[in-house]
Amino acid sequence: MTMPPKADRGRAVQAARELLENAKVVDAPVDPFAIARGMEIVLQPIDKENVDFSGCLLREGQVWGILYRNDINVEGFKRFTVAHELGHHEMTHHHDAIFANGNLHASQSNFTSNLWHEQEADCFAAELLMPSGLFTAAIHDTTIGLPAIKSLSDRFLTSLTSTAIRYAGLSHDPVAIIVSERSCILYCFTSPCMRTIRADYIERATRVPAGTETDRHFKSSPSPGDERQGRSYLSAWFEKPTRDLEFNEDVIDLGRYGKVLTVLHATEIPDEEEIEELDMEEDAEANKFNRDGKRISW
Amino acid sequence: MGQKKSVLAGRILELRTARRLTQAQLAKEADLPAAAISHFETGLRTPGTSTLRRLADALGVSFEYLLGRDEEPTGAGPRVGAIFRNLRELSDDSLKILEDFSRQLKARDEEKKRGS
Repeated sequence: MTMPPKADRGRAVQAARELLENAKVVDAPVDPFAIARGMEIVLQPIDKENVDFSGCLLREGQVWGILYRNDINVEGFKRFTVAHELGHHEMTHHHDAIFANGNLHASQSNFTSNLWHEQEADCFAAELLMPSGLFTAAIHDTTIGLPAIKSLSDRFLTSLTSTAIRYAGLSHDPVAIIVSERSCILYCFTSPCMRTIRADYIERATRVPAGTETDRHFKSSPSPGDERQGRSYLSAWFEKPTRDLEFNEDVIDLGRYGKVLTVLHATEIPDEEEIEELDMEEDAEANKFNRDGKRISW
Repeated sequence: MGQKKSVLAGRILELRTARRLTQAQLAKEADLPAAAISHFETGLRTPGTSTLRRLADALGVSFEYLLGRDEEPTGAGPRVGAIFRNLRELSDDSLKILEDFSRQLKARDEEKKRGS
């Protein structure tokens, strides 16, 4: 049995960097439309609803074109779609796969495609629109959690979802971003340090854990853009984290198709000794009070 | 993949030497960093389409030829007869949009050919 090819993310990142260099882009926001026009690629928005794809790359002889959905009023979504199709154009090894049965390629956009060339094109788009150097520097200049993602989204003109995924990928802080729909988890991305405590995987289609802020959000009558803040334990979300820490839980209603973004974050993962010290301090403080809550020592 | 890389590397080297260009001269012609040509000729890096198009223009061939998809230096590569992939998954409305755009690109391609 032949194994299907695997996505080579390093190659996609390299291709995006090469294109940024060729296009002489040095700062954000990156304009994928201008880059495409600079390469004489014909761009055409589709304003009709109910189109079966979010974007596609076409070629007729020596002329290339990109169609992208324009009916969804989210600028970041359109920019990501065009950047994704630019990835297919740039990575010449995609051409064989894409044009194997014709000269047209249509992509569905949901960040979770299992096809190697779709994953590579998503990876390309993320690096093109949110170059790792610029993005990492911007993370250092901002706050944490959802406010950070919103500020980065404004700076890079990217959707909250794609910014959140990038944030999880490049942040040095313990962060998990979870996208769910109708109380069902669609996917989860975590920052590298979450792997150290094995809080890095949630099976798709799992129910949003009861008692979390996200659960309360779904049980309310949410409106697009609604936000909530709370706290939840990692064990509520992840199966067997080696440390069950309490994280901040930021929730925002994405408004499109009832999707909700949850950001679990903390400033650091305290080591075992620090936790023991904190527990001892708490115990010592508790011992200063009698059972009736009256202070008995200072 | 490996074979294509070597075709590409070989063709760049072959065309550059035939045109009596140094790596630095070709890099300058194609507006690329000086070390890039050496990387491509040794197969250390595979350039993206936009870089290939610059190289192809500088060498006076099509990028399809550089990739080994065409045996004619100025050929545009194989044009596949069947146009659409995933045809069955597309609704009539989507198909109409794609066909219209495809026609528009084809017209531009014809115009480009007439111009050159």
